Amino acid sequence: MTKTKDDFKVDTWNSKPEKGSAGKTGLWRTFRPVINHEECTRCEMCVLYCPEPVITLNLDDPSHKKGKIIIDYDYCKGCGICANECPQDCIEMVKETEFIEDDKEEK
Amino acid sequence: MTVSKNLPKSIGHDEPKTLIISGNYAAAYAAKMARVEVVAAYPITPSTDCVEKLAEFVEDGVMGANYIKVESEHSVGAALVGASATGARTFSSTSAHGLLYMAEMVWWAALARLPVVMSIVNRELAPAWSIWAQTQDSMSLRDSGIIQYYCKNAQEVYDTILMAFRVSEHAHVYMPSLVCQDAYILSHTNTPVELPSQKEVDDFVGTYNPEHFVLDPKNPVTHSSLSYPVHYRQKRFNIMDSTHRAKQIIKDVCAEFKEKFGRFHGDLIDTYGIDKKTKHIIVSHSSIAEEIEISVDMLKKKGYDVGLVRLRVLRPYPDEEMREVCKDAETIHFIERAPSYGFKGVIAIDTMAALYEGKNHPKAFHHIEGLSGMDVTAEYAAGLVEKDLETLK
Repeated sequence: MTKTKDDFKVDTWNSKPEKGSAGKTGLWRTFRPVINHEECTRCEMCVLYCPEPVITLNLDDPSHKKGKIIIDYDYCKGCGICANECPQDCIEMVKETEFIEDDKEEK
Repeated sequence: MTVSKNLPKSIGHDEPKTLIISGNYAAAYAAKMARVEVVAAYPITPSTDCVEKLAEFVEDGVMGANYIKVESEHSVGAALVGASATGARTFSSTSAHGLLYMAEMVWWAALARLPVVMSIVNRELAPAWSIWAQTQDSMSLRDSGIIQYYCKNAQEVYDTILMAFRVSEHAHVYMPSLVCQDAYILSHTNTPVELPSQKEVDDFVGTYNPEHFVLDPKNPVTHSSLSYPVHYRQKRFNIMDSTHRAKQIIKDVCAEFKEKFGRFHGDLIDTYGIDKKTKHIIVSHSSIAEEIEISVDMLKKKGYDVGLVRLRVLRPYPDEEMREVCKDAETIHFIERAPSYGFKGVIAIDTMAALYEGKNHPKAFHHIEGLSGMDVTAEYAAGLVEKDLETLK
């Protein structure tokens, strides 16, 4: 290909997908899924059903030999599908207002 | 980014040769020898021969392209857009209603900056059904940004397709191209076409290495998602810049082609019998222009100071070149196949807009001729110009 001297560039629309490129969508949440880790059997149904997907099983977590289910609250929109699908019924949807004080403390 | 490539094979062109073939076959041979990687096609008269020949090449194993058989021309466009976005060299051929059905995807290819090259056999639109030559099909896509070449013979079709890949795939252009020829007059008439050797073509055309973007699963990007006005405007002005730049690039590529292959069909415009002070200028296009070359000789014998300008590239429009040619002209005579209903011929509209910006404004005469492939003979065209000039006396 012949190159010309100036540095003109063809400009196109390209965006690269990456985590958080649309902002922290967890801010949209009204209800927060809270897992009761005592009752949780680590069946991973919530991991499978989460449409975002923000639920993962951390196998290395020391609290249990099967690991621990982690929800990434930065991006969980609180749709409640995990709570609906959980066979143990151990995910509770709690109003975000309940956590206002906790969040303040964290900051 | 650069994509390393294994070029698809193209067998049977070790030596240069001359074949007696139609315009459609010339286009097919050009695509084969340019080592096109993806062909998507849906047949439509009179461009069917081109895609049939390509299918034959692929079936015979002498052409290494992926040939995608789709259910409509719209899907042809979609397949080519997708393939081109992955960095493949793409080609197809269509006509009339096929092109209009593909129109959405032609705009998509242009605005997405994908260098798809297509051979268009210009055919009349229905109703009433007609299969003969007329250029409104491709000219109705004039404003899409797509580069449009209008060829006067099969040799020019072959050569222009090779050049079109070079121009479209230039890093400052990245726009698709239509290489247009007249239905039957070129598409189905067998004439001698010189084919260079494969090596010469490879050296000239090179490979397509997209620098603007490429769809690659290993490096995922989203192309053309929702864009806000400020960005939209910026990208559209970039297209304006690129298409204007394409003029110089077309000239350079045509000059390089002339140097390598010894053939020159004009660059943005092709002139015949024109010197610096030609008084009466005929402006025409496509195969009509080749016939009018004879008219020019006839009129010159009668003592008229006439010359012919064949508009070879409609978009980007060669405004400076046209002003230069017409700078001492007294009259300008448009003989064209493309009316814009409600006004004048498409080429006349564009040419007069270009001349308006210059100092010399010759008197214009408009002729819409050759609709539906009607014969425009040299005598007839010469007669038109003579009648125009008589009105001045």
